[in-house]
Amino acid sequence: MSPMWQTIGGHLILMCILLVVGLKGLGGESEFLFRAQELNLFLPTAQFYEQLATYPGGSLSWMGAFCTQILYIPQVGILLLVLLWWATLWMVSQAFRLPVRWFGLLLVLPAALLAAIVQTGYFIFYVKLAGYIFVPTLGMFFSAASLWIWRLLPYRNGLRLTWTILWAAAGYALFGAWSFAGTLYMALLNLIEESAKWNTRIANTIIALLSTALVPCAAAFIYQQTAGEFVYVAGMPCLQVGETILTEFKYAYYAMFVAWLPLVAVGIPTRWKSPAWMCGAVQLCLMALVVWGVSLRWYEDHNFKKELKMARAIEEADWNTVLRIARDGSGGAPTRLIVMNRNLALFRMGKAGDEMFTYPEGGTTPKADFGVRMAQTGGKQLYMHYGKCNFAYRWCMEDCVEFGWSIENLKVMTKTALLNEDWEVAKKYIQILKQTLFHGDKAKKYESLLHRPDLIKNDEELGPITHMMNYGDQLDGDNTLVELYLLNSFARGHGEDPLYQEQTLISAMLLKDIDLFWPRFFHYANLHEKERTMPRHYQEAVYLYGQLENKVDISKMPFDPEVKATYKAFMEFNQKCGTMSEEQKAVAFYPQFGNTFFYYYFLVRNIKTN
Amino acid sequence: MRIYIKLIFGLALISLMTACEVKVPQQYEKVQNKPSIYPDYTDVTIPCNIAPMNFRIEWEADEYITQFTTPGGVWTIKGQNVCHDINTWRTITESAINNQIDIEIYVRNGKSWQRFTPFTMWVKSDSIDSYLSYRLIAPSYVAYENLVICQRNLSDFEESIIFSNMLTSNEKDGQCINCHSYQNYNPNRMQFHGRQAHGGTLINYDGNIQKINLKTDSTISAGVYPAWHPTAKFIAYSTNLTGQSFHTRDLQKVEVQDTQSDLILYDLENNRVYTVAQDSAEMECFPWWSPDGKYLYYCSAHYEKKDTTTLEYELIRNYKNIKYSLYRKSFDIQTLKFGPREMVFDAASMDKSATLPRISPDGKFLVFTMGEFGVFHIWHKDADLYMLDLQTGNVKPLTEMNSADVESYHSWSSNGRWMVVSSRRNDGNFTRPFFAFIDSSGMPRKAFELPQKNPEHHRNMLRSYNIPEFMKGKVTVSAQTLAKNMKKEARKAIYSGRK
Repeated sequence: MSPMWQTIGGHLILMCILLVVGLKGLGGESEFLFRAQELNLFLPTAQFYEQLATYPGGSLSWMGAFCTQILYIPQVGILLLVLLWWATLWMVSQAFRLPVRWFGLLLVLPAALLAAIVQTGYFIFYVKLAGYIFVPTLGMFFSAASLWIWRLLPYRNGLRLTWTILWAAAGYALFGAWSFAGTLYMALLNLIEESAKWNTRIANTIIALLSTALVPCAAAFIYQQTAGEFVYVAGMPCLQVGETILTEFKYAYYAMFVAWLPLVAVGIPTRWKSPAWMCGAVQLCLMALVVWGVSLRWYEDHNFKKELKMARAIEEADWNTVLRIARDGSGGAPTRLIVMNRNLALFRMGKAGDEMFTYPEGGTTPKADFGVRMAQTGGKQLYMHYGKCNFAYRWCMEDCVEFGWSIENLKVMTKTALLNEDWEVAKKYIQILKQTLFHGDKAKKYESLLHRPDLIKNDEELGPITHMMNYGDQLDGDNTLVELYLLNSFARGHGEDPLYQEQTLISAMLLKDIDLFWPRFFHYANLHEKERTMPRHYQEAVYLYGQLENKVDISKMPFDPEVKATYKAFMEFNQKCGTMSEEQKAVAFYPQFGNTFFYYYFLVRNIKTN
Repeated sequence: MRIYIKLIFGLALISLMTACEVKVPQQYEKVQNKPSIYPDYTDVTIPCNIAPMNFRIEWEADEYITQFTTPGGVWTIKGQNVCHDINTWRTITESAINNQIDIEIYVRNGKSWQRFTPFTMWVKSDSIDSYLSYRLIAPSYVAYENLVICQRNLSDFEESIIFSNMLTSNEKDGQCINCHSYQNYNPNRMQFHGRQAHGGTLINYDGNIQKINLKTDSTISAGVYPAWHPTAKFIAYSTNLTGQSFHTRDLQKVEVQDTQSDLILYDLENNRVYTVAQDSAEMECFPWWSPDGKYLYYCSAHYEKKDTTTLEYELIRNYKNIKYSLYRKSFDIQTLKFGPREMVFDAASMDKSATLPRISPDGKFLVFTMGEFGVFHIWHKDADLYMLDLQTGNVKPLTEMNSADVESYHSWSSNGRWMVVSSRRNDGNFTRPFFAFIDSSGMPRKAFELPQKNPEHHRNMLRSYNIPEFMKGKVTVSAQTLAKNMKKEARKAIYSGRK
C-alpha cells in the first residue's frame, strides 16, 4: 500500500474510533449535554462578542458558546465535537509529521478532551466559563492549526519566527492560555527540526518561550478586567467552587497540554528504527492508560441523570415521565430534588393525596466534591411551579450574575415575569430569547402571552401556576434552602383556591405539624365537599393524628376500612418490633408500610435538604 | 497592477453610489401620530455636545427615510436604525445651537409612502460635562461577580473602565466595589469603596492614592454614602448597618433597609474621623454639601424601637412606616463644627419618604427622590424626583423628568443646566441613565436616554447603570494602578470625637 493510502487509512481508522467513542460514549450523556446547552447563551450580536472579548481568550469563549448551543440537538453537537477532534488530529499529524504507525499516539488528546467533558457532573451548574464544553476542544484545535501553519512555513526570512511571535500575541488575545500549547510546541519542534542551523533553532525556541512568558505579562496592563494572577490561566475554566478546588478536574487539562509530548519524542531524529512490535506495544500501553484514565474521570451518578431527565420532562410539562423516573429505584435513595420534583408532578396530576408516600423517599447528598445547592440546580423551577415567582426570578438573577446568563434562566425569568404581569421586562427577555438559534419558537409562544393574563390562565404550562399565586405580599427570605422555605411558607399559608389550599395541607403533613394540619384539613374538606372520596394519605394523617392526640373527634369520619386496618397492623407490628432501633424499624416496616403516611410520620427522619 | 486598478474602480463606484442623495418622497400620506422610536427622543432638549442621538423606528415597513432639518441644512438617512457618524451629527447640532432640529420620518409599505408627524430636538448651547461615570451591575440581590466602574465620553460612544473588581477578586475572596464619587466633578479627586476582600476606601487626590479603613471602634461601620466637600479635603459619609429582605409577591422584589445609620466626617489631610450625627432614634443617610460647603444636607428617619423582638425584625415588619425627611447642619470650616439639625423638608409629615438631596451648583434648587417609604428608592416604583426651591421653599414634582417607574439617584451637571437620573422606566428592572435640561428657573424638559451607537444596545444589555455622576474630564489613573493600591493594607483612620 502506498504511503498516501496508508495515511488515508490511518485517518479513517482514527475517525471511526472517534465516532464510536463520541456517539456511543457521549451519546449516553446526551441529557447532560442538552443541559449544558440550556445553561449556555449565545447571541449573534456584536455586543455579545464585545462583552466576552474584554478578556483574553474571550473570542474562544464566544466560539465555544456558539458551538454549545448546537447541543440542543445533542447528536449534532457530538458530531461537531468529533469532527473538531479529528481535524485537530489531522493537523497535529501534519505538524509533527507523524508516521502512520504511530497514529495511536494521537488519541491521547481527544481522550483528555473527552474526560474534561464527562467528568463535569454537578459542576455544570457552577461553571463560570462561557462555552465550557467546547472551549478545550476549540482551544486545542486552534493551537494545532497554529502548529500546522508554523510547520508549513520555511525558516528563511524569519517566517517561522514571525509566525511564532504573531501567534503568541494574537493567539493569546483570541484564545487565552490555550494558545500556549501552540507556542510551547513550536519551541519544542524547533529543537528537533533539522531544516535550519542549530543556533537559529535555539534562538527561535528561546523567543517562543519568552513570548509565552511575556505576552500575558503585557496583557495584564492592557486587559482591565483580568487580574495579574490570572493572566496565565485566562480562558481556562475556574475549577473551583467556593473554597473547594477541584484538583482532580485539573488532570484532564494537564493531559491536554502534554498530549503531544510523545509525538515530539517520536519525531526526534534517530538512526535506530523502532520495530513494529514496539510501536504496537507502546501504543497499546498508552491506550490502556488513557482508557483507564478516562473511565476514572467519567462521572457516573444515577441521581444526577434522573435530575437531568426530570428537569427536561418538567420543562415539557411531561409529568408522567417525571413520575416514571421517580419510581425507578436504581442508584439508591433519591436526592431531595428528585423527591420534590416527584411531589410537584403528583400535585400537578392531582395524585399527591393518594400517592405521595408510595415512592422512594430519601435525602441523598448530590455526588460532588463541593456543596450543591438546590437553588442552583432545580430550585428555580420549583419556586416557579409553586407560584413563588419572585424567588424563582431572584435565584435566576443571582445565578446569572455569578455563572453567566443562560437560556434556562432567561426562560424561567420570562415565565415568572409573565406570571407576575411584569410585561416590559418579560418583553426584554423574549427579545433576547428570540435571537437565539433554537429557542425562538418558545420565545414567540411567550410573546403571544404578553399583556394577556386571560391566555396565561389557560396556558398548559403557566395556567396551573396562577392558582398558586393567590397570596399576599410579605418580606421574607429563604436562606438558600428551597425545600424548607416552600414547606414553611405553604404550611403557614391560607388560601381559597383549592389547588393552593391543597398544597398548604400537603406541606403541613410533610412538616408533621399537627397544629398546622387540622385547620388546613378542614378547609380542604370544605373546598372539596363535592368530591366522592378523601385521598388516602389525607385519611391516614387524620386517622393517625386523631388517634395520637384525641383533640379532634374522628369517630364520625368515614374512613376507608383499609386505612384503619393498615393503622392497626402498623401498631401491632410496632409492638412486635419493640426492641428494635429506629433504623432497624425503618427497614423492617418498609415492605409492608413504606407506602403510608404512618411510615413517613414515624420512621422517615433526619432527612437533610440542600 | 491590474488588481489595483480594479480596487480603485471599485472604491470609486462605491463612493459614487453612497454619494447618491437620499431623497424624501414627494407624495405621501400623513400619519397623524408622532412615530414610535426607541429610545424615545421625540421633542427632547439636548446639549450641543451630546453624542449622536441614534434611534430605531419602531414600525414595520419596507423602507425608511429620516430627514433632519436645521437652519443650517438638511440631512437624510435611510434605514430603520437612524444612526449618524460623529462628524455629521456634530455638523447637525452645531447648525442648530439654540435652535431646533426638525425630524421627519417617512416609511414605505408596498408602493405607498407615509410620513409621521414630525418631531423636534431642541439644541442648547449649554454643554453637558464631558464624562459620565457609573457602576455597571446586574440588578441582582446578594450575588455579585463582575462589577465595573466605567466612564463614558458623552460626546461620543467611548466607554472605558475606571476599575473592575475582577482585578482584586478571586473565587474564594470576592470583592464588591461601590459608591464612586468625585470632588466637584474633578476626575483626579475620586473615591470608591471595596468591600469584603481587600476592603477599604480608595481615595485618589491629585494622584496621591490612599486606601483608608474608615471603620473605627466608635462608628457603626466604615463610610458608606460619600459626599466630598466642594473645596476642602473633607468627605462626609453616612455609616450604615444595612440588610435586605425579599418581597414574596410585590414587583419591587427587594427591600433594602438600614437598621442603624449615622453621619461622619473624614479629614483627608489628618486621616481623622469625626462623628457628625449619631442618634439612636434617628437613621441619618445620604449626606450632600451645599455648593459653598457651608451646609451638610442629609436625610433622616425617626424610629424608636417599640417591642421585644430584634430591631431588624421590627423594622422589616414596619418597613412601610420608615419615612425619611430632609435636614441640614451648618458647617464651620475653621473649627470643623456642625450646627444643630435644621429641618429642610418634612416628608414624614406628608407620609412620604425623601432621600438623596442634591443641590444645584448655583445653590438655588434642591432635587431629591421621594417615595412612599424607605431609603433605597431604586427598588421603589413610586419613587420620583422632586425639586425644592431653596429661596421660596416651594416643592414640586419634576413631572417632565419622571415616569411611572423608578427615578432614583440623580446628579447635577457642573453648569447646573443638566441633570442625570437613574430610571427604570424602560422595563421596571434595569436602570438606565436619563438626562434632562433644567432652565435657570428650575423648569425641567423631557428626559432622554443615554445615546448609544447601536440604538438597541440597552435592550440587549443585562446590567444596570448605578450612581451616574458627571465628571469634567476623564479619570486617567489606570485600573491596574488602582488595583495595586486596593490590594494594599488599608490605613486606619483615627476617631477624633464628635463635631
